[in-house]
Amino acid sequence: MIDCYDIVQTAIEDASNGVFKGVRKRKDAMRFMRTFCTAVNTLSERLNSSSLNVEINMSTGAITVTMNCPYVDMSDVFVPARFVFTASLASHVRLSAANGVAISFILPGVWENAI
Amino acid sequence: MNILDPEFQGPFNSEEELEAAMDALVITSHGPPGNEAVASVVDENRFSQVEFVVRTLGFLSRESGAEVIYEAHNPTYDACTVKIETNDLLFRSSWISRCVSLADLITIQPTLNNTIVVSMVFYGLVRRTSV
Repeated sequence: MIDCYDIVQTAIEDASNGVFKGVRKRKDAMRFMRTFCTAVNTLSERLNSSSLNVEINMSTGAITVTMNCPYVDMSDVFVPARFVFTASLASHVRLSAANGVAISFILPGVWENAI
Repeated sequence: MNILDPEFQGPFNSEEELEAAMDALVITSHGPPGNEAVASVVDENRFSQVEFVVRTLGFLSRESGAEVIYEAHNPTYDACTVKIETNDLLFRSSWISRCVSLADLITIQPTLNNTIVVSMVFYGLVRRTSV
């Protein structure tokens, strides 16, 4: 199974070695990211997600985690509860048509002074 | 316009239209004809939750050009369905969390037109009481 935190951590390290070189990461934000990724992993498994992608906005530092699912059915009580929890950790959620259904969670960056 | 008409599938175009639809629901859901022993009244608390979702989706549709479809209240199942078709919809997380937590069933399915349809089903709009 794809681990969200592995992908997020790799993307964050790449950005830290690139445009955010020398900018300190907030420890609390990294701890928060681990909680968020655990929630995404569970949701992704329940929704039979086919892929997980992470994008970092190089201007703002905002982190977008996108899961692609063939179809989303939230009839199981656990799924909406987990969705609500996962969404509440993000600032915005985007639903779009891409390889089935794409659910993107947009989070603030982990770097100091990032928006 | 009558949202209790099974053929009705149009989106609300204004708050006035939504209000009129709510009035229609209240007026026409007072139990089946000839069954005076049981009265059905709209559960206003539940209805206001559905109204919140409809208005939220309506607002988002104006912002994004998505289409909101409100299906007629189904008295057999006491259910109403709100759908939104879009190719890209951005929510504040607090809004989508609230919408998801209020609906009884939610599905999101892709279409052949490269869009997705988000369907939310709400039960329990009508309370039956003895008179």
